[in-house]
Amino acid sequence: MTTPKPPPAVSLAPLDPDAPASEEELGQAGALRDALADPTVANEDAELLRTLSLMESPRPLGAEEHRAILARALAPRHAVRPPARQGARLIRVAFGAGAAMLAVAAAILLLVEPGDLAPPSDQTALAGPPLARVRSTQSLFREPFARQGGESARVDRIAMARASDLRDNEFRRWGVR
Amino acid sequence: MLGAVADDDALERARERERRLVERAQTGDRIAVGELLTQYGPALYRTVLLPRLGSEAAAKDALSETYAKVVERIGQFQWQSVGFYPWLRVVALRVALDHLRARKRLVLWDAEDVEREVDEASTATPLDQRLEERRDAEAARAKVSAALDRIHPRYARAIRLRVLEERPREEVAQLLSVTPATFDVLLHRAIAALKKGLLPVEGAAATTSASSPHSPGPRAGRTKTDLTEVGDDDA
Repeated sequence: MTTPKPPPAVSLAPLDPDAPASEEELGQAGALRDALADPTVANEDAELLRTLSLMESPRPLGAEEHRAILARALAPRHAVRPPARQGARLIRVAFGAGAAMLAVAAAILLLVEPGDLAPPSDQTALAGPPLARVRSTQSLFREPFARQGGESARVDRIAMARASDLRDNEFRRWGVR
Repeated sequence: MLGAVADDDALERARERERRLVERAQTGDRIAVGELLTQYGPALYRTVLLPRLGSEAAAKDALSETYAKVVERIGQFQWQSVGFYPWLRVVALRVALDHLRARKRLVLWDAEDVEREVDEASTATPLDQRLEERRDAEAARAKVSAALDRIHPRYARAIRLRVLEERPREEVAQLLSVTPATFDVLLHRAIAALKKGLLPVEGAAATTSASSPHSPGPRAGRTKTDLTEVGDDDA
């Protein structure tokens, strides 16, 4: 069973403005009078009446108050940061920190890997002659390239040279050359 | 005739000075921003923010927010022949709109009214500052007048004399031929009737809401839910 909501006070206002007042009305009228006399007293009706007054004849803003508001707005940005900017800064800092950690990890890998991949010193001593090093293909082509065609021939030449390097390396490892 | 020419020249010089200030402000010169806001801020507070928000504290907060947005976004402003004020007014209207949407108390200027004003200001030809100020002041007074026209003439008179004209309680009671205690009741009934008048009349809001944003129509577009939020504490 639901309790019927009591009608708002406005509906109790009589059609005749000068009709006798109820006790409740007298109490509310007294509260309104006190709130109008003292702006620090909270009263919704008094606030609405003040709103009407401000709309009809708005009071100017004091010069001191305006200066203070202006000074706050013109203060350096770090003094007042809107929330959105703080969020953006947080993301940038987190991203920067993540990138720095990745860079450090990559540097450690670079330092560690060559050692791991390098042959043991005794093997190096047994290897004998040095291996062919990776190099540019520039030395394989002395003549200028044709404007069109010749790609397959050039790829073949590179492949043959590298196959020759590979064979030489294998022969050296085996000690047959 | 000569006076008019001199006025035009003075206006032209003032505009040119303002344009240079805006250019400096857009390069990050905060002194220039300060000069622009000192020139227009007080009028913005008095004719745009205070009437719409209905409280000095709320209007000051809104002015502060408006200034912060201007400092942040002045680079987006494109110079117009009518100067800086119309752009500043739109920024302030948007801030006022946010405040009105967030608030719960009953006000004469609701969010839908201000939303229409923002739309109009964004699309219509901008007006000179003096014209805008005059229109804003007239619109505020028209809203008050329209609200009082909807209540019993005796209630409206009580509000006019005591609140708008700020006459002493005893004097108003005498003018209305009642005792001061009876006048207190009369004023209480007047504000109750005013609040009731601000609530929407079923089916009437739609027909009156199409008027200009500067016209004082009843509270157009307000839903029953909105009214519950703002008006249920009346009792």
